[in-house]
Amino acid sequence: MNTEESYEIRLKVNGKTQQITAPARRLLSDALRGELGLTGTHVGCEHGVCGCCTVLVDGAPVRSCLTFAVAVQDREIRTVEGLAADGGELHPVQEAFKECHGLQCGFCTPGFLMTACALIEQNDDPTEEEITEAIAGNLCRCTGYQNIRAAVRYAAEIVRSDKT
Amino acid sequence: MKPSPFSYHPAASVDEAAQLLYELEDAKILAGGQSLIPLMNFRLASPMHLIDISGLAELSEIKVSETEVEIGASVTHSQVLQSEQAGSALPLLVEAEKLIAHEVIRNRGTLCGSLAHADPAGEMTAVISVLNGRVDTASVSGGRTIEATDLFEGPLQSSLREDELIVSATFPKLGPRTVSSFREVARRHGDYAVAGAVSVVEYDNNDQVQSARAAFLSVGPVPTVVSFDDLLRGTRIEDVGHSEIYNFLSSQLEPHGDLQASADYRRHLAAEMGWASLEACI
Ligand SMILES: Cc1cc2nc3c(=O)[nH]c(=O)nc-3n(C[C@H](O)[C@H](O)[C@H](O)COP(=O)(O)OP(=O)(O)OC[C@H]3O[C@@H](n4cnc5c(N)ncnc54)[C@H](O)[C@@H]3O)c2cc1C
Ligand code: FES
Ligand code: FES
Repeated sequence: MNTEESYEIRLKVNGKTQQITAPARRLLSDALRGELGLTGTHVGCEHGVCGCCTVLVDGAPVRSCLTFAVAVQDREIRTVEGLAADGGELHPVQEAFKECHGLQCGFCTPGFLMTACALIEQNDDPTEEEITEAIAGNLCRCTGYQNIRAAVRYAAEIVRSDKT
Repeated sequence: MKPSPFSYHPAASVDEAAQLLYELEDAKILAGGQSLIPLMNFRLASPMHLIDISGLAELSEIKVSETEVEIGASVTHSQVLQSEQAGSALPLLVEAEKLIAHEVIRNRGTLCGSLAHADPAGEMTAVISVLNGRVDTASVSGGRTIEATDLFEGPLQSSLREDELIVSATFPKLGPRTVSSFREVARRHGDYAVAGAVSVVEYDNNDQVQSARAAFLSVGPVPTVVSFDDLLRGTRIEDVGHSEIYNFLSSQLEPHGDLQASADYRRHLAAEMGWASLEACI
């Protein structure tokens, strides 16, 4: 039987560096869920279309299903588990999704949260068009999107009011 | 599904990438992975070695000169969009980039990767074709320049040799009396276009057309370039008008049918997009 070559991969996830041993073909989504037990990142389509696997790499949203873990060593990776503060206080995007009923089954939610988080970190006063554009790459089969848009708008509002 | 096993080689330089590409059996370049990894996840591609060029600083530059814009092979779609320099030198690049997928995909996918991938539905294959741009390559036997007209051989088939990588793509800037425009139809915003056209029109000193051409995406195995010179030279687009342009394009284009659109419907869409992109150049 062929034995597959393994790699020692350093992953910096939510501020914590961990070492995993995995083959080169390990997708970042599977490394997060399998090796690191961070099952908040969901996997739907594995070809970049649904968006539920979206995580942040150096602040920018990327598809973890279209990224090899070995290729993002030492980069700053953030997942949905890193959003809430240590004491459990919700991040503004989480608070807003809860408040505005931005989720139903919740399967798509981690991807939307990370995408919304990246948007409001870049721009805490997005226009309606910018909100729509930012979340256009994420699919939700439940909500009909209106409450998700409202949640992103409200999350930005929370961030702005926290600053004043 | 999951990709099949491969060995990973982060290249430390272009020379090393070229050397590895030459030495290793069944090796492929990994740039942003936004076309290659979906294919690998579905086991439609299963290379034994991947040579990662995404971290190479020597390929990360956008250079703007008097006459051209040159984009290095590790520059992502998002970096092109964010480059004020590139945007003001060649607004068409920005117009086209906005039509490519969504920000998440653009954050990793590269412009040169979409040329190497040679998908005739890719916006950049049409842009480089209509502008008569070129790519520069590297290999152990030396680099060469491939003109856009010679770059695409078929769907997902470029004229790159197996031991050769693209180091940059170069787009000529448009002259002062030249206008461009991109129009496409996609099922949903961010999807690959069912059909689309990008036009470039040059005017003479009397505001009449001196030359005009369009490149079409998703209508053939490679980007299709159509010249309007015989139809439009010495006149104005609005004087020739929609029906003549539409009929001319319908006779020129030979699209295929697939699940998204029959051949006839696609010919209709492409001819309409051809007209719409010309009209936007008036
Ligand atoms: C959901 C989704 C939607 C998309 N929508 C669009 C769209 O609407 N329009 C569009 O144009 N694209 C679209 N794309 C594809 C995207 O533009 C990719 O970024 C691009 O096609 C490939 O670039 P990459 O850097 O990701 O290349 P990779 O995936 O890394 O590589 C693609 C191929 O090119 C080869 N390659 C890459 N770089 C080089 C090089 N420098 N030299 C030699 N060979 C090289 C690789 O070996 C591989 O065969 C979409 C992708 C996804 C996942
Ligand atoms: S699982 Fe990554 S986009 Fe669907
Ligand atoms: S809440 Fe169910 S898919 Fe979005």
